[in-house]
Amino acid sequence: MYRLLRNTHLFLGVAAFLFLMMYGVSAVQMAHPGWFSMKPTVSETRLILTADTPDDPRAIARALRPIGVRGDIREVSVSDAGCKFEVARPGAYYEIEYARATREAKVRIKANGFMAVLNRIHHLRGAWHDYAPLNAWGVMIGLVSAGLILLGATGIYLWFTIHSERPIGIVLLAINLGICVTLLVLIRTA
Amino acid sequence: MQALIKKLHMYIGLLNFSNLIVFGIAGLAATFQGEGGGARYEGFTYESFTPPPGSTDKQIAALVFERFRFPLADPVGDWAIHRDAGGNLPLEFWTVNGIYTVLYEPKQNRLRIQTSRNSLPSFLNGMHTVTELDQRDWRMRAWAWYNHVALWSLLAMAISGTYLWLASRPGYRIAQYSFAGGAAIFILLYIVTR
Repeated sequence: MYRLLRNTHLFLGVAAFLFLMMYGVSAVQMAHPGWFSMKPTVSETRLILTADTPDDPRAIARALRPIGVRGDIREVSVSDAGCKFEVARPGAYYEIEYARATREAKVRIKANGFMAVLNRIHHLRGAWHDYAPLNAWGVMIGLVSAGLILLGATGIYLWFTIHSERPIGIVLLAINLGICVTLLVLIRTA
Repeated sequence: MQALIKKLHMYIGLLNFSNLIVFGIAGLAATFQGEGGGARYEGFTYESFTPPPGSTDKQIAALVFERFRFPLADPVGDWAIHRDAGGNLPLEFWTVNGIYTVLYEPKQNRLRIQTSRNSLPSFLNGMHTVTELDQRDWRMRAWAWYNHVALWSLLAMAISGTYLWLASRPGYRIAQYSFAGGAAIFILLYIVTR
C-alpha cells in the first residue's frame, strides 16, 4: 500500500508538473496584475476571399487559416452587408469583419505574450469548444484537477506514515483545516 | 538539503491541504459545468423605489447598494452601469455565493430583485479565484490572504516535489515517462494554441 501510494504521488506530481506551474504562475499574474505586461501585439490585415468561399463565418474562418486564424468562433453577427465575428485561442484573438459585396475580410489580430497565454489557458474549461486543441486542454485540466485532489490525499497518507512528523503535521493540518473550513462555512452561510 | 526540502514540501502541503482540494474541485467544476452552470435561480420579488429627482444612474446604483447591503457583495462598477433598451437599469451584485440581480424599473417606480445561489462546486470555483487582498468583507479578505499563500505554496510544492524526485530517484523509469508524457502534452498543446 505504502509503495503504491508513494509511487502514485510521484507519478501524478511529475506528470502534472508543467500544468501546476502554469496554474501557479498564472495565478500569481492574476493576483499581481501590475507585475507583468499583458498588452497584446495588435496588427491588421485585409484579404479578398475567393468566389467559392461561402459567406458563412465558419467557412470564412477556415479560409483565413493560412494567415493563422485558428480558434473558437464567437460573437457572430450577420447582416445584409456581411458578417462580424471573433476567433479566439489562448495565443491570439481575431476580430473579423467580412464585407459580402467586396468579399474582403478585415482581420484585426491581437497576439498575446507568454503570460497572457498562460492566463488564457488557466481560464480554459470544458470540452465543448469548436477548436479541438482547446477541448484537449479542457480534458487535461479536468485530469490535472482530479490529480491535484489525489496528490493531496496521497500526501496526507505519506505524511501519516512518518511517525516522527505526526505531532507537527497534526498542528499544521489543524491550522489549515481550522482556518479554511471556518472561513468557507462563514462565507457560504453569509 | 534533501531532508530539509522534504520537510518543507510536507509542511507546506499540510498547511495548504484544504486550499489544494478547493483548487482541485474548482477545476473539476469548471470541467463538468457549462457556462453559468451550477446556479439555482429563485423567483422575483418587487420593492417600491423612487430615487431623488435628478439622480444619475451611478447614484441610483449606490442607493440600491446601500439599501440592500447584500452579504459579501461589492458596489456595481461604473463600467457595468448602463440602461437597457427598455430604459430600465439592471444592476448585478456578484458574490461567491451567487448573484443578486436588481432591475430598477423607473416607469413602475420599483425594483425587481432576483437571487441566484451557486451550487457548492460553483461556490468553491468562485472561492479559488479570490486573491484580491483589498476585500470589503473581513471573511473574504482573510480567505484572499490564505489563497495568496496557497498559490505560492502550489508553486513551491511543484518545484520541491520535482527536486525530491530528481534528488532521490532520478533513474526511476516510470517517473521519467510520467514527467516526459506530461511535459510533452503540455508543450504540444501550448505550441498548438499559443
